[in-house]
Amino acid sequence: MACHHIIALAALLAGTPAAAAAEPVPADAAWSLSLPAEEKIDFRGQVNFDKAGQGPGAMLYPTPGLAGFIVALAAHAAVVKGQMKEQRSEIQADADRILVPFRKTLDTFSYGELAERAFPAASGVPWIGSGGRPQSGLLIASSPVFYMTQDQSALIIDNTVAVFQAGSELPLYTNTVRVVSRAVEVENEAVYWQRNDGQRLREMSAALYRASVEIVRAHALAPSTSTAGAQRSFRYQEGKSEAVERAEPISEQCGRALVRNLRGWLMSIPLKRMRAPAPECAGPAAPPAL
Amino acid sequence: MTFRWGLLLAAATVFLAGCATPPQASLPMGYRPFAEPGLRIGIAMSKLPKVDTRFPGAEWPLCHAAAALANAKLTAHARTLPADDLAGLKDDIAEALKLKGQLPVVIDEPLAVEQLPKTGSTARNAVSRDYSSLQSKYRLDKLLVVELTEVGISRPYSSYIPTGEPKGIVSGMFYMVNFTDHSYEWYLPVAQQKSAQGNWDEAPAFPGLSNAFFQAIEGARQAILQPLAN
Repeated sequence: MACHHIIALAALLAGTPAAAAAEPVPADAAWSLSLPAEEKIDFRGQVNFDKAGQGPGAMLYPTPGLAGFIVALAAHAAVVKGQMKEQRSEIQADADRILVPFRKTLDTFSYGELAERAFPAASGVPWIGSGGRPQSGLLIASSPVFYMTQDQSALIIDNTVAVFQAGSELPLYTNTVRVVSRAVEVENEAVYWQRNDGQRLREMSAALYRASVEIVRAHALAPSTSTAGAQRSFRYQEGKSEAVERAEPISEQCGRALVRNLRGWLMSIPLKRMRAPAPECAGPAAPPAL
Repeated sequence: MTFRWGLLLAAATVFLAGCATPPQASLPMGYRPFAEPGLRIGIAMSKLPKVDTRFPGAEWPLCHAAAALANAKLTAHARTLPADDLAGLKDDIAEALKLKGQLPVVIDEPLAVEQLPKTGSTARNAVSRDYSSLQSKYRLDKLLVVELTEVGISRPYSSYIPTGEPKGIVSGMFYMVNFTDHSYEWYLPVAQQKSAQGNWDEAPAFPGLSNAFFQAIEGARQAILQPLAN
């Protein structure tokens, strides 16, 4: 449910133009990060509601008079609403079962560790806890939510961010950034992620978080360049399955595309591998492999 | 008395005739359709249905009026959604057939299946309509038909009450007719239903639901293109 609130908020904010800054922001301004105050990272099983609410039901209102009819209608609406809510909860609970093998790791995986792994001290992007405000530069207040695909082969981050200039309570930029990792090709995905106290799960989560923050840093201050009619349906890999998103292309590099979807979210998605990666994608200057 | 019996018999005949023509079952595409290279395969498509909303379960006029009123913004938006990717499906099928060594013949005009004469055949996998006119006009060996019946947004109702969230839908069927014995060589019913991710009720642009609509379109396209690519 919280996810829906975040998504709804992000959708609203995505359509809102960035508030005008009091002063122009220098391009080389320092960046800092804040993360939610909660202890544990929000990790969920990826959910699909395509099969929810299937089929119409029939209902008769054999009540005398208009008042009786309205009462019956209201009762029917309440029952149906309750059933729909229950069905969605069940689907989400089913989806979350995919995380059972990783529960021990996830119980000890904190936002602090995520920030330290994604942006170590040498990165120059300090984590200032939750609700803090930097003395200078720019702050990215982020609320990441992670998902694991149902085949356990890939991770997804939805990072809802607000960028603030030091001293300002009005965000310069708000959006959600989604980054989808490429599916791992291993015999047993659960063992792969869980080995060494969930080292790979922690590392990939940090890599996704870092990638989402870097996308924010690259786009928060850049003028939006939406082109009418440039949208098309992108097919990409979500775990071992193919997913589709209607979006506008921004860039494509090393088998990944950066697109802007219909909600205005920025999405970094792995494209289907048609050929071997270009040499520059394997070199030391290559973008981090996701 | 005889007249009454005659009426009863006529009514029973009409009633039972419905049972005599069951809907065509799904028929997987085997190896046979493309075993021989260089076949002239026509590609026809019925007129694309208008992109619109529908409310199954709210068929009674008052219920339908209430559902239409409650979803007026959604309907107004749905009618602006483009279905261009479906309109270009014939050309994509032609490309896939070329790669299989066949000679695709794209039939430009929309196919009005309901206007073709009925065959009346009850044989297994026999076509229900006579496509011979297309065979002679385009000198075809086979005909691949894309017949879409619903494209848009569907929201299930129970009388006046919505029982589910709206979904992007594309329904219809794809089939291949073999003119040597007028049978289906491939018959694939398609019913793509996609939900919005997160909240769907985001008037006026409904981005989540619009995305679901485009996902349904892409799902329907891949349902036909994937078997042709194998």
